[in-house]
Amino acid sequence: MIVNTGWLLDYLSPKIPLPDLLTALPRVGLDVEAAHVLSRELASVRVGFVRAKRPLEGTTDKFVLDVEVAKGEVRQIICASAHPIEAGWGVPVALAGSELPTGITIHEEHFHGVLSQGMICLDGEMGMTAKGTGLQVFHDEAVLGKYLPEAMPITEALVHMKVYPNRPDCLGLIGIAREIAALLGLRLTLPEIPPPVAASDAAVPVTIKDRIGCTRYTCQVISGVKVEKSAPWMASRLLATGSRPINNVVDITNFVMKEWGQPLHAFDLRNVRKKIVVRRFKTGESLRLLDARTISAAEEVSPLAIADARAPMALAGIMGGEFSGIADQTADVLLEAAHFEPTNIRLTSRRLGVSSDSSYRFERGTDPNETLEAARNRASALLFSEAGANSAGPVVDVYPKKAKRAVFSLSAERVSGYLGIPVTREQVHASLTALGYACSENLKRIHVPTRRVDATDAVVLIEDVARVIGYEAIVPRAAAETPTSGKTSTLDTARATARTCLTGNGFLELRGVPLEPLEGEAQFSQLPGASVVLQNPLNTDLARVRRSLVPFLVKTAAVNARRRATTFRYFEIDKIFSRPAEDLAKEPVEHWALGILMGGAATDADWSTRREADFFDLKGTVESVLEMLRVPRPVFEATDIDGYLAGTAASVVIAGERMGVIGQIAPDHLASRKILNAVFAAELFLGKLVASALATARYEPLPRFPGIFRDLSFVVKKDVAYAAIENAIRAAAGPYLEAVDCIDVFAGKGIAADGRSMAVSMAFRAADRTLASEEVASAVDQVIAHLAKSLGAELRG
Amino acid sequence: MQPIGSPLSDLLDRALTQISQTDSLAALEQARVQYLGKSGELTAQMKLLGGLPPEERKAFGQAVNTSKGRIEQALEERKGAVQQTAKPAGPSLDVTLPGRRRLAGRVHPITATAEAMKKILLGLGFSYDDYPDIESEYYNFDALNTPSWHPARDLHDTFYVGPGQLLRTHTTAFQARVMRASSGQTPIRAMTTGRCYRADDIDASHYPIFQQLDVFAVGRSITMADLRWTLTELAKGLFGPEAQLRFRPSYFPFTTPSAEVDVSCVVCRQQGCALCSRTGWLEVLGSGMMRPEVLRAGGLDPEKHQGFAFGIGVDRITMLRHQINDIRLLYDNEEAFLRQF
Ligand SMILES: [Zn+2]
Repeated sequence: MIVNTGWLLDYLSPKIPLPDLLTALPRVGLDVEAAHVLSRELASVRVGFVRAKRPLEGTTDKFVLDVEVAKGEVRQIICASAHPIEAGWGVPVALAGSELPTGITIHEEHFHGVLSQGMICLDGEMGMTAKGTGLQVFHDEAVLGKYLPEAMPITEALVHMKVYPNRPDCLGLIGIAREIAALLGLRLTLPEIPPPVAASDAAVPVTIKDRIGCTRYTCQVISGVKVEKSAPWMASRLLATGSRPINNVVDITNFVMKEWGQPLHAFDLRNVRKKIVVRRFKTGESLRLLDARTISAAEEVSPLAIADARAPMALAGIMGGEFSGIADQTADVLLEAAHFEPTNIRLTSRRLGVSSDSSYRFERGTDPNETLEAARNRASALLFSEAGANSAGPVVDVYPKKAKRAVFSLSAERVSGYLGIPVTREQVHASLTALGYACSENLKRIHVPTRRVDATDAVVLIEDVARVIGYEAIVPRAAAETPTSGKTSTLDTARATARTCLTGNGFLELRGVPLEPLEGEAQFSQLPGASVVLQNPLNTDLARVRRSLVPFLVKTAAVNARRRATTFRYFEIDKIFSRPAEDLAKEPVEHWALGILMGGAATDADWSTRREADFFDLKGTVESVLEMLRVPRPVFEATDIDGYLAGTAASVVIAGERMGVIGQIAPDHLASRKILNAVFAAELFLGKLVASALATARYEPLPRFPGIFRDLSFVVKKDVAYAAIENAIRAAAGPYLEAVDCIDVFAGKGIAADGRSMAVSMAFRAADRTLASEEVASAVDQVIAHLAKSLGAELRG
Repeated sequence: MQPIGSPLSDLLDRALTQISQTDSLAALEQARVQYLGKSGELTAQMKLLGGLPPEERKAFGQAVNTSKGRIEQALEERKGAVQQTAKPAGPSLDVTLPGRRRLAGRVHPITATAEAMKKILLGLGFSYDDYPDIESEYYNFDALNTPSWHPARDLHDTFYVGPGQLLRTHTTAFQARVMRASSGQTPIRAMTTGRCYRADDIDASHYPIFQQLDVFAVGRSITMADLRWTLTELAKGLFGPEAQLRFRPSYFPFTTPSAEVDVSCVVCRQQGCALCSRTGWLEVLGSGMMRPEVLRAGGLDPEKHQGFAFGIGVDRITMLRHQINDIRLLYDNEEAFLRQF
């Protein structure tokens, strides 16, 4: 909503300076998005003197002006005859290239082949309210070429503000003025409205068929209007606040809506046959709206219409029909002021895609009582003073069930106990009274004005008191209730542990985008079932919730490869998602995951022995993380997952359950992204790991007796996995085997083509004595025999 | 004792001088052999003993032994010194070459900011847990006093993934879940952080995905002054002890009174700068006292309980902390960016 502060001050007394007003607005609770202070923003408009005026050839309503905009500098400007302009006048001129606070930008333009280099600015076009004729006219040549703020006092601002949905009563200037008056201790000065004069008995009977959709319908016949241009004071106010003036009758309904927040509608009485019926559209009925769209009853819920004896004339509360509105020849007006149920307006507006300033207000909730009446009476009075009306019929008012004011009781203790500061009964009383509540002295009965549709609970009154007292009065004070110590989850702790471990190992943490394109669905994903797909995606790049962290890790490697990075060490901790089946009724499942990616040099800043990281560098990193998380030693089982190079992927298994996967990214994912290195990735289910974590460590006695170490070197077939060898050694080595380590793997010269040589180191130790070398020798013999028998290992040298 | 100038004392002086000038273990060994060896000079003196008159033998013997002791001591001391200075010459080391290592990793600035806030709030007694990204309409909206017809739903452009299933538009959705889990027990002090999703087009200050931190406290006598105290502690912990807060009336369907909270500009100390649009204040979070409808949705009686709540955009705080002017940088994850934190 755009507010002109000059117009707003019409309703406040005394008039306060602009800076005070601007600081008060946020205290009311209005979200000021931008405040265009005109004295600053009109600095590009200057006073130019019209030196010559001639008609624009080929038109009847346009003139070509020669305007001296600075001493000796003349520009040609074409203007419409919206306002009389004579040669010799000084007028505000905006030259091409400038922008007005109302958002109008001025360009060089050609009309009928004639160049126009600027614009003569009406008050409203500059965002100002008009005091006189709507155009500032200067006769003293001394101001020639001066910028407008130097030539005249400008004290207004245009404020773009957001009125929150809870306060539709502030969708009219009087609502805003009432708040400011209460906060600053000013007087609210409402416009004088003479009581409706029933000088004629012209009336249209009203029937409300849909009493849920329409709570109150009032109308009045106003006769003898002369449809013409609005007076400058009104036209400028509309123009300044973003509405195009149309004619005096329509402008009055708009003006009053902006003043009171109550939408009104004016019908040409000639188009209203016999009566007004508020009812739903009937099958087969349709209506062409003011914006030339046609709506019909072909909806599952038929929209609410304002109909006459024959057909709908308006889409109730949203928009009038094209043919029932005010025309140049209109003489008698049927003025409508009604209250519609907000939800119905909102749903209709959404369903039909039709909205207006009226529907915006009705769907948030208007006041069916005082405001409705005041707005109608104000409009009726303006039709007399501004549109030449000469008689008014009686007000027809159908209001089957009058909306009652809510009543609350609110003690000062409750307010104090809620806000945490001492508030007196007098303060509560004064604050609420200033905002228009009717309060009993003891605050047991507080009547809420019906315009306050948000006041459904006494806490709203507490907020009102707090706003009037000022939020700055609420001073910080710690809770009286004993706080408990804050705790965090084991998962949260595990995340921190993994981050510490990985950053310590040289990995950068990423923050990925959890939405991704639809293609490549199963890639890298360990999750069974279907993907979680957005039903209303913003675009095709963000169409699905990701089911693996790896694609984003790879994507980031590509981003950095384009920046000439050749070493990649990244990780991310986030959720991955899937749905157990395509069936949308099946609840999606969320898993916490840890994704790690590694490629390029094994160490940075290495000037001697540069080595490319391989699978085992990443495997070691994974093992370190798992150790830090205190989970049992995993086994790695070869597996196949789309996205990983075949034959390089392994499941990370603990106690028979897959905890994640590790492997080499298939090169086709990398080549297109200009990544030349081999890149490896792992993805672990962090939640599952936390669940399998070991309990708090229990101390074990330190070894007191020396260990005995034996190395073995042997040749096995290539397809014999190291894990099988280690298992065989552990199975055969007897009770004193403490540790087994692989210390060398070699294939090539001197080894059969289908074999590889392997060396292991074994440590033997007894807890209670020094082992005899014969005991170890016999254990080693058993190992050799078992390796030979079960795995075909041949001892070397 | 032999008088000075006697052969024995000359020998001792000569030996000590020679030892003191040796600069290698080899030279020391040579000196040892020369004086103390089988045919060494001092050994030769000892052999003179038998030829002396019996009354002189004792004194001479003692003098020779004393000399021997002093030479041995000198050899030993010099040996230590020689070993100190004359280590075998190794390869000369260019200690200025870079250390062989992996560059230290970094935590993403969003995580670092969220963790910093969590740490302060844990200290203030708020407990942490995670809640679903895929939420029900009920917890995301209805339980927060935002039924389907509510105009406030217009403020959210929500991504749906199934009937009644959506990507949470705010972490505030956790409130009713926490309260229900506590089965009516208060006080509750809870917080969570996580991803939120809104159908915003991407630009320098909008991203369809962002991270929020949500906090609430419910008890018998939790007040708006408590809220202000808690936020003040948080702001001072995050932005430094001089941080000031400003409360402005605002609107959220789930709080009344509602307050938009501004913190004094972290850059200009309220002198006015581009970051704060010359206002001296930065909008950082929304807060308020929890609506009775919300407490009821959590199974608590609003006649007996009251509480405060606030929600913070972690991305925004991260950007303010590090003066990052484009939210996209946070999600592009360029190394040159990540390594700055
Ligand atoms: Zn600043």
